[in-house]
Amino acid sequence: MYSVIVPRLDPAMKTGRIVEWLKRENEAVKKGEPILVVEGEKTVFEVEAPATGVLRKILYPAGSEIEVLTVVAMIGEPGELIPPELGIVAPREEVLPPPLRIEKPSVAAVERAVKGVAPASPLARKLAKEYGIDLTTVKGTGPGGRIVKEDVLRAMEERRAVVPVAPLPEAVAPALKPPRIAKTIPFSGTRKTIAERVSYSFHTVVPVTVTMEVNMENLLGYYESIRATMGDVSLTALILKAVAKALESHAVFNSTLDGNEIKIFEDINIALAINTPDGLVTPVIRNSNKKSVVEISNAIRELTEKAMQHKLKLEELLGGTFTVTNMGPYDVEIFAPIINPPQSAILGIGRIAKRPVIINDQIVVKPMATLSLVFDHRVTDGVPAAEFLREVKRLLEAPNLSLSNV
Amino acid sequence: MMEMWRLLDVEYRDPYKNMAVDEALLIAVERNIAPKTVRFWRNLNAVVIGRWQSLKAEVSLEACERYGTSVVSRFTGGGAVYQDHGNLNWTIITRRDHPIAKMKGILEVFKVFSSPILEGIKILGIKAEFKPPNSIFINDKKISGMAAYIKRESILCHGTLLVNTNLSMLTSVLKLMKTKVTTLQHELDTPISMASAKRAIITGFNIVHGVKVKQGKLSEEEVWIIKKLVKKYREWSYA
Repeated sequence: MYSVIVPRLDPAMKTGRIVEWLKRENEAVKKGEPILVVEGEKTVFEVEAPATGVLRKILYPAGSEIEVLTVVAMIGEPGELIPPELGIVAPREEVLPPPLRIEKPSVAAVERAVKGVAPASPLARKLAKEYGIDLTTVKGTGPGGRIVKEDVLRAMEERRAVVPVAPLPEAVAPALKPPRIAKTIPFSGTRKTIAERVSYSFHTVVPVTVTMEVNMENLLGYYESIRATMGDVSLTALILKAVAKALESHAVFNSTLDGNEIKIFEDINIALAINTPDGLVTPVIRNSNKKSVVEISNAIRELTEKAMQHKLKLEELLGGTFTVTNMGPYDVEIFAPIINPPQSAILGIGRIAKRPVIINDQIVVKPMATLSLVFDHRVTDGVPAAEFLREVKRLLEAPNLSLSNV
Repeated sequence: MMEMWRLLDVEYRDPYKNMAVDEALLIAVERNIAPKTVRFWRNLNAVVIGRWQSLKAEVSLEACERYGTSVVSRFTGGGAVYQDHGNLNWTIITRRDHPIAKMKGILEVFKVFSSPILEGIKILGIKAEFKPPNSIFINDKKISGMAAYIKRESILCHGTLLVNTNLSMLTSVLKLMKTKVTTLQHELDTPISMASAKRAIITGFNIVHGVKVKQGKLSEEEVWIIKKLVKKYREWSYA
């Protein structure tokens, strides 16, 4: 007959809880096979059978909290008698009194008698002390009436011990300058009511997509003309410049929802999604609205090269306030990108393709692209989103006027 | 030479499936049909609680019902945590004969396995420290908690990292807040993306354990094991 004990897996471990028996009584077990799952010291571990045989007796059921090195089961041969010193009487043909229950050692009873203290596991005592629970008022449900952790937790149910989250500390001065906050709008009243309604199911970002077609003819013409004078400037840089300008007058899309406040950022730092062999990265072009198209174009080139070579620094990835993702080169027309938390919106750009459109009641062919704006509906609504997108469209369709001071 | 581990960026909308993935990975490594793995994943809106913990004592079921928060049991122990897309879950699974799994006691599991996460937080410029038995703190506020499961041949340690979690939700659904909590975003006072947090942790692996990671995917066997396990997690669910 072999004893199964709960091992002490750490010098500090004093007790464990049997969470699950993987085998039933009288089921065959093999040496080294996991037969028991124990939780102790924040870790769950499997206890293996010390020998091959049959699990003859389980002494503590699942849920029992026991001290380490306690014998919790016996493995033997099929039908082998269990030693009487364990208190179990082997069944005989004649009617016998019911088998003796295995009781916890009388230490607990002695404790109560001598010290007047309710017998409790070390974990239960620790929890009770932490939350001010008087153990003498707690009914124990463990072996021998011992108070276990669940008994203390049950007593605590009547006294909810919610520790409120303390006010946020002063910001740790980071190595980078965080984007400045220009304005704080209290998240309350109608705004909050709308947010609560729309976020019944989702309690992080509530994404809504608005799309708009843009005639890119003028932008493409403008692009060709400035390339002739300014060198190799990217089309994405022109689009980013237009988006940055639009964000100046539609600042709610350049924001973050932080607890009970919608924080409108002072700075417009556009993150540009770049696909690399190792996945998507979103390096940030700081103060995009204050940079020229050439500066934005150079930044895009430099960041893309670094991204491909895994040389992006962390400060180049942090501090984004709005994201643009261009799937046009991949022939995607319309898509709903995921908002880059904790930002409030993201703009997707589809491919530029010649499509028939109606202008002045005539069907003409124009290079069109679809812009897809995904915004957080807790922060703003569809109409402001449409107005923002319309502004981007206006800037892109009249670049000579809107982007001329590049 | 740097050791190469598999990196899995696998997460599902279904929180029960997410939990099944972790257990499936442990089983696969135990059976020696999967490599050492680091996994990043998130739950959209869920409370995850050790299977044998007292749900009523730790979780406001009324708040969960109101906010549509799923309640998921995990196969590792420990108390309830709230998870949204602002929380980055990390899971590390290796064989027990690997050097990082060789410890004097099980409590060392948490310190050793979470050291890349701690290093990652420091890389971001934040002073943090490991606090026994199983947490990472920034001053007196907790930012990461973890749990572990030890099998005969393999070991799994998984934990949370509050990047920009909605703390209002967290305090609404969790009854038992033994410590104050904070997020990376609060500490940095600047928006930080999940990608940045993951990148910092991966760099931490490099520095602390000399481990590089390579993006991988679930094998067919793992997918099969996950399918078998999902039902169990749905049945264990209190929702």
